[in-house]
Amino acid sequence: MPVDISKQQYTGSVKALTVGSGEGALTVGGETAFPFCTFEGETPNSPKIGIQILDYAPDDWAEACLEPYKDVVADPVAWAKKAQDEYGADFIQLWLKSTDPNGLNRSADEAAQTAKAVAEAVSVPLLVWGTNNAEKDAEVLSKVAEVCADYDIMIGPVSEDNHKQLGAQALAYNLTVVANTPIDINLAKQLNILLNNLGVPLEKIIIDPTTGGLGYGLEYSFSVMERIRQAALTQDDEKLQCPFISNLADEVWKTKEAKMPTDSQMGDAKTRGILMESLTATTLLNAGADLLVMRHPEAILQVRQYISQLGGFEMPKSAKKAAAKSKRAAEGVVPAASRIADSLKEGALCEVVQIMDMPVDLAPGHAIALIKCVEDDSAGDGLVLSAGGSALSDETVRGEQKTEQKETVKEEFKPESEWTPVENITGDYEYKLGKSKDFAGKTVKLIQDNYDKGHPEEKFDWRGRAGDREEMLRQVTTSLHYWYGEGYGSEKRKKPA
Amino acid sequence: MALSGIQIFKMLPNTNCQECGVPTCMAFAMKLAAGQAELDSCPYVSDEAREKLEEASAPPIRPVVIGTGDSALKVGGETVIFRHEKTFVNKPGIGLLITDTMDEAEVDKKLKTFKELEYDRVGMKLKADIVALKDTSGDPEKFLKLVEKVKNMGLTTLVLMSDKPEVLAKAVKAAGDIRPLIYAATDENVEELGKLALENNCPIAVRGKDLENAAELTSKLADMKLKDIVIDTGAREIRQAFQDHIAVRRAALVDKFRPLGFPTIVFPCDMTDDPIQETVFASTFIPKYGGIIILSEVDGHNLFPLSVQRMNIYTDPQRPMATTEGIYEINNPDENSPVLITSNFALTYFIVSGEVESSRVPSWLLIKDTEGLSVLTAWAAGKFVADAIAPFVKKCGIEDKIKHRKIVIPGAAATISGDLDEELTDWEVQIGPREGAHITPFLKNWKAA
Repeated sequence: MPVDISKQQYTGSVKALTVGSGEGALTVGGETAFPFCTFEGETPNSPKIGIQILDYAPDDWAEACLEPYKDVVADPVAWAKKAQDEYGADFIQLWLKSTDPNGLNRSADEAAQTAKAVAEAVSVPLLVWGTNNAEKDAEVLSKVAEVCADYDIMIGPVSEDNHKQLGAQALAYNLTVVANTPIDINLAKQLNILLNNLGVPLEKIIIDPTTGGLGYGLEYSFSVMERIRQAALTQDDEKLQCPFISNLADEVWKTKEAKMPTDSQMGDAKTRGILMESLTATTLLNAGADLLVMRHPEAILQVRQYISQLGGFEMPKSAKKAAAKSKRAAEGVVPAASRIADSLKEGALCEVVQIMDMPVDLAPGHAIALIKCVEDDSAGDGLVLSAGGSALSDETVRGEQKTEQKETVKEEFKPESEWTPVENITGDYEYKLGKSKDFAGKTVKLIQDNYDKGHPEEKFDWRGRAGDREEMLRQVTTSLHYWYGEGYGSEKRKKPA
Repeated sequence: MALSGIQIFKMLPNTNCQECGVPTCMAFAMKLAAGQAELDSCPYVSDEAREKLEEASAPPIRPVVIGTGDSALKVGGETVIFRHEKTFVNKPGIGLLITDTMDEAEVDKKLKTFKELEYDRVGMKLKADIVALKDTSGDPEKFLKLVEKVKNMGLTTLVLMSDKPEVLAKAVKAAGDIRPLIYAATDENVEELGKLALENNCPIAVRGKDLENAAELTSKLADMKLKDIVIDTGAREIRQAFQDHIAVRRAALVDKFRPLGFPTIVFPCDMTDDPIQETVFASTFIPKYGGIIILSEVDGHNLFPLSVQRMNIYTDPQRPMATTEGIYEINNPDENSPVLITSNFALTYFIVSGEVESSRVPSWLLIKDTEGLSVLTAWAAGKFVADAIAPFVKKCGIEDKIKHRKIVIPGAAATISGDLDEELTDWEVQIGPREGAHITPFLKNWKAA
């Protein structure tokens, strides 16, 4: 039976908007159809996800969403870098919450310096966010605009009460503004007109229709966004053809339900929080959200996968990496770094200095551990390469203590029979254990089976690829490069172990 | 296929008897066309005309009831594409998949959790609705045992899933008089299963290879005089399933295409192995037109968010959510605890009570019935003003519970403080913060004397 279903007739499109430049540049908008309706219109740019950071260490965050950031919350710069580098933020929302006159009431100057430091540290665009106090925001964000004149930043929330001052700043410094109105299509349009009359082009405006979290007014945001998007696309209402931002992170995580502990009715606290944030995001995406402000890395990953699968968008590279990592973690396949630590502790002949996962594209599922031999005082650091998935490894490379440039000790590289994986009848892999090893004249009892049983997530035979000793060492050196390199992880990693 | 007023008029007796309560047959026809009148109001309409009119005036998406009694699940019956056009009416059912090859202990655990989870929110009960039992063993005995077991646990809103008509026939018989949803009619078995559904008066689902095949199957069933049909478009991939749902809703409402005018059943449980992703996928079909959503896992951490999302989206936008008027005790207040008053708009209540609770200051919260309007709107509408609040404060019984006479009003309603002072002569009216977030410091500094 032929089914001929009417297509929605569209007459307008959302304006595309680009912030920033170079690798971190962000482009959203441009869609000519309702959300994810890719069968009847264009959605040239996927919705983007920004990570919210604060300008002081929050004292009231739910444990689950504080956990991924707890090493960096005291330093907005480190926080922003972690959000960008580890969790792949498309932009950073710096919430200057400390300027709240009813809170810490920090000065505009202080806040602007923080904003500048963060803008300098990241390559993705920065959205500097106030406290919804029109007067204070006008003062703070004006100062921010001035101090961050060299960076293409976004500022918000710009409300009816401070649009003149902030609109003027936006014009002066060519900034993008987030126009915030309280869940009302007419007010949203009116504020856009007011800003536009000042001279702010519509291409520089993002609509923030005010976001309610799950269970706290989400439906109001959902419907007002659907109405605005309908006006933009089907009635060609030019003044409403701006991309949306949904500032959902705090709306979800500040609620009682996100902070409640694990119990039988409410389920696991962390998973519940992640799902509350993810579901708020998917609901708003289905109403047309272009930019999402989120917090929990796992919720972000879920929503990225959702966007990519529903809209047919390519996953960003950073997200792919994070996805692979989290998948392995979920399946228990990753040599959880702690397992290496445990097995080394059992050996008791060496001490773990530091452990890290090997960069995914170098050797998926592998980890390396920096160890110190304790049996012999003269021994230097060792680097253990733990080959997850493919074989047990205990290749160790020695270097001078407390120097960044490790020198490898010349020794023969002899593949051992124990390393060969054997395939048993069920098709699962089992690995024979090397209980102890001699290397460079020292007895170091090294890694045991540091892998959980089961199928390796993917076959990756780095030892096979590293055919000879030279290549083998190159692998190790590359790992060292990552270890101490600028690109990987936080500042801490740069310090010698 | 909706008929115009004129078309309907031609089928009416044209006697202008006025027994329907409308002056003329023409006016009645117009009302029918606009959906403002019921055909039953006309005592003289011919059977032939009735059949035609009923067909034409049937809802564009058939409401389908699965199960019986209080726990029955009603899906479909939707009339709009966007909830702001009117409202969504019948919440999609959240279902749990149980197969007959699952470990017995696992089944018990899953069903126990399914039964026990329930949330109370603004006077509404949020629960999972339906259990889908799937025959994966191919062993009829095993499947029947599972059906019996679930039924004996008091779970009677069911989907019975099997590829084999003979297994389904036995299962439907074993289930008895509880109107389970039979899943699923395909090209191979549509006649046989159609007959089964007809004989047992059960709703039946079709599983199409695609949208077109699904429409063919529903048409065949409709020819057999079956009405309670549920559509599985066959998509097992999120993107296709989403597009199918958009198409089904538009086909039914815009094109009035009857073969797709039924609620859907969708299986996020088959779309991914990651239970978190499964719930994320499921959340698509709450705003986007799902009928029954089947999950592989129902637990507090996913049912709570999903059922709250469902409640949000299915709230009638024409009527604000409201909570009951009265005195709410937060953090075990005593006679020296502060008294706050606010409107009964559900959001206001949630935010204020949440903030008071997290402040850990024992407090009394008075909720004044403002017909679900927020503080400012209620003030403008004359429902949160001194002469409405004062009688409530005096009568609600708070005066017996406290020693002091101080009442905190919302900062947004500061303008009423003067009037309220006059009305509540023995009370001291204090102006509270404008923002929920500032309640905690306010309460911490509050003193009874």
